[in-house]
Amino acid sequence: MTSESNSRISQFRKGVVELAIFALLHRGEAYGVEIVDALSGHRGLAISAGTVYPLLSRLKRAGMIDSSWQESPVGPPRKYYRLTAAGNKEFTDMVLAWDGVTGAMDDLLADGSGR
Amino acid sequence: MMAGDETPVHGTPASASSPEMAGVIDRYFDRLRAAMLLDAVTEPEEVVAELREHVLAQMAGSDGGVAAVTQVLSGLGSPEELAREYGAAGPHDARPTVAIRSRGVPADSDEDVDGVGSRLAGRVLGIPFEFRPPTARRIAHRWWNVLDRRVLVPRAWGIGWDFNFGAIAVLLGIVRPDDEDAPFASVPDDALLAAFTLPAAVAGVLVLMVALTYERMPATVPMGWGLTGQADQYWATPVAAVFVLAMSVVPTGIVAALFVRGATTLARAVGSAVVALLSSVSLATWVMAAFGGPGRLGTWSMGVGITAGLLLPFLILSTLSGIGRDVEMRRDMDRDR
Repeated sequence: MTSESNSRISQFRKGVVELAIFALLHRGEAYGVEIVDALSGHRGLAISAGTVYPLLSRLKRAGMIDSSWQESPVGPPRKYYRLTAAGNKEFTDMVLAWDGVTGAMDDLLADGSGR
Repeated sequence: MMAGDETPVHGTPASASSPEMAGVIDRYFDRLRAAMLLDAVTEPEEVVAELREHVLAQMAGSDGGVAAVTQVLSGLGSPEELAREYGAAGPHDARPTVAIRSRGVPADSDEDVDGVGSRLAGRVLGIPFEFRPPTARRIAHRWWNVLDRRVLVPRAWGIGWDFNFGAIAVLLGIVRPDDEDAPFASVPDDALLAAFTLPAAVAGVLVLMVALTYERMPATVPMGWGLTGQADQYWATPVAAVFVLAMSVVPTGIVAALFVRGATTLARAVGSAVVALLSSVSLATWVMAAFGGPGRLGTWSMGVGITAGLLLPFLILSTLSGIGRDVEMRRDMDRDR
């Protein structure tokens, strides 16, 4: 695989990381390392801490998520993230958009290319 | 044509059917050419030819009026935006193919920080340069960006790279990337003032040092040294004295004014770090000029100055960040109790 191809796939993945974070936080609040671990467990996404933290910061500035420090049962306090009302609404819209994109792509890819 | 393709069938691309319509199209592509020249787009005529064909094909089924051509051209966006897109999508650029991006979430790009579109910031032969007037936000973004893993980042002002002390602090485990909601936003005033006294004291020592040694200095003093520590540049003593004092006292005064005016916590924190760097190096330079060289102090004072010039800003910024995090932590946990 060429470096250009790798870069394109990397950019492609970055495009969906935001939705992945929304999906994870839609299940319930989580702290930074927990989010990184949960998402990096999905090898297809190839997400790292360097991707997640800037995105969390951007989503927070946009009012999509909120955060607060909470005591931890083990170790130092942790900063937990959760979706705001605006974030929940955004997540619903994004899921609809995602369904449209995946439906279209399934159709296109089923036409004998790549699969 | 593929099954399911809903693209309208166009005939052979029509030529512009009226002088008025041709004029609108020509003006659009003239603007595009000019914009592409500025954005260093490769093969601009090929781009124009392809887009012109697209426009004419879209016009084939229309009434050929100006309103129709305007609508088709508006689908391409403004010539300047289009040129920027072509300029950014160079031969090795891989822009997101699919981006499920939420509305209202600001992009990572920041004009002030990144210098997008500015002729005063960019790269030449891979080396970054930045000649826009420095801002506290930009210096903070380069010197203390815990969200950026790069240790070396383009300089906040000048040519080359700066250390990203935030990335170093994360690497060393001193801070976590999301410790603070916004850098230094919650740092109390007294902590900021205490942090400023350290570099201000270094500047004070420099002033004292110059005052005590100036009369005994020769007419010229060494102000540049080679790798072996051998002086290779000599300046007139008054010029050298004014230079080191200006490098330290002027920024100290500016940052002191920021405190008096009650500037943002970010500006005051970063300002203290800048003064720490400049004052340390200025002090070391004067010590070298006054006492350095073979048979005297040697070159160790410059080594100490450069080390202090890097360590002091790091200590100031990482300490203030830790204080800010603790304040936010207490705030949140007290609220939950």
